[in-house]
Amino acid sequence: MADLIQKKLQGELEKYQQLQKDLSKSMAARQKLEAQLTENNIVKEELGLLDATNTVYKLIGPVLVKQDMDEAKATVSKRLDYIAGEIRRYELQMQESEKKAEQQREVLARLQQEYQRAQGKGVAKA
Amino acid sequence: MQAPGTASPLSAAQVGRLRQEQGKVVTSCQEKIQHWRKVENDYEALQERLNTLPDKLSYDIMVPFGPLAFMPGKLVHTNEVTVLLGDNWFSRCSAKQAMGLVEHRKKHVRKALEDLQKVMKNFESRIEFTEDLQKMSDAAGDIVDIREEAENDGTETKGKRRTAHKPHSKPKVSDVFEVHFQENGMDTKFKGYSQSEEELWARLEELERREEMLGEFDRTPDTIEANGEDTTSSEEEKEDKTDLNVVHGVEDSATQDNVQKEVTNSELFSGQVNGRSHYHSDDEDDLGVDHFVPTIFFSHTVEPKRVRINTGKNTTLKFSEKKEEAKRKRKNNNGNGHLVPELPNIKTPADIYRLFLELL
Repeated sequence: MADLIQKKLQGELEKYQQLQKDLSKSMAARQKLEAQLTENNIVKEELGLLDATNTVYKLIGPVLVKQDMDEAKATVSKRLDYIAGEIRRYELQMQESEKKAEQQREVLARLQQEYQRAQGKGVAKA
Repeated sequence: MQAPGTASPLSAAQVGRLRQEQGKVVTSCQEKIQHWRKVENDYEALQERLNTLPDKLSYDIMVPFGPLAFMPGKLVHTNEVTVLLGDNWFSRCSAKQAMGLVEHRKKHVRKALEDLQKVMKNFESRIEFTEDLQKMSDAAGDIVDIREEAENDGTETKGKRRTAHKPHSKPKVSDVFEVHFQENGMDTKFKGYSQSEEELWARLEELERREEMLGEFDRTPDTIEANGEDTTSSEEEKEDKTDLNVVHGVEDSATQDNVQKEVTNSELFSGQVNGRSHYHSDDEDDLGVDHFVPTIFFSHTVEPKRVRINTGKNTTLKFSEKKEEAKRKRKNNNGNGHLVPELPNIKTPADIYRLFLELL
């Protein structure tokens, strides 16, 4: 009886650890996105500071590709929106993971209690 | 973070750990601040360079060729700079425009620096607080918990005293006195007392009756008449006292108490009216009987007044003190069995008054 519970406990524990990893991954991704967000904001502002006479290049690999000013501005805005959307998605993901982790924690606690009880009984028997 | 004011006191270990964590935050803040300061310095150097660059059309420089070699060369188109805007975006602009961009970036850096400094200050103050807490806990051995117990002992003690008197007041004797008073003190029945005692009891009864009568006067206004009467009866009471003292040796403590009370009552008879009324009520409580005096007035303020308004007889002061000490000792003897300490009376503010005035 105690062994069964122990196995169950281990299984649940692994699941919980997996959830925790997912959570931390989402967290890291979100932080990266945050940094990109700020950067793109700065780019947007600086593009605003420049006028049409300057040429704007985009670095694609080892190549600097000439871009149109307006095109560049539009691209940057689109990128900003995209990043914001990604952040929201990751936020939701994190919340869900958090909820699942909570549930898993409860399950673990219950199992632990059962296991201890079973152990106690086993000791009494022995 | 647990607030020290909560019910569960922080252990020393927890406080230490808190201090550690706060220290970590502060150090990380400091590191970031250093980093941002470096960045700002770099930008300033850059601005300097941008300023000077367009001064000349071309510069003769030693161009680095790899990590170990240099080659003489020329820096041309000094006004044209390609600026990295971030996120793989570049832009070709003049030196002045580049200056503008750099300036704009510096704004961001300064903002970040300010935020970090605010955070650091916050945490520094927190650290200070935690350190104080730690010191306190180290000094006291525990978190200092200031508790004040609400002292309603004044009324309680009075009440207790009252109630204590009742049980302590030797029931037999009280019965006796009851009988006496009901019969207007004319009855001379004494249950199991010696002849001399009987006489004394009779005497006491008379005095008590007188007291009661005067007590009625007391209830209404403070009167000098009472005092006058007091003085007349004081001598007799003193006599009684001496006689009773002799008797005391024979009797048990219970009766002794009562007798003493009687005596004190009579003594106070010579004192102030208010005081007497007070003790009278005490006595009444002792006896647990409804005497002529219907009401019992108890007030803390009464006592100090009584004590202060010295009727010229310091005996009032001293006597009250002694009486209460005796009462306490009796109580303790009857109840706890251990003696009262040197300052037995300080349970109420009035006691303090009494003591101090006595000392004066």
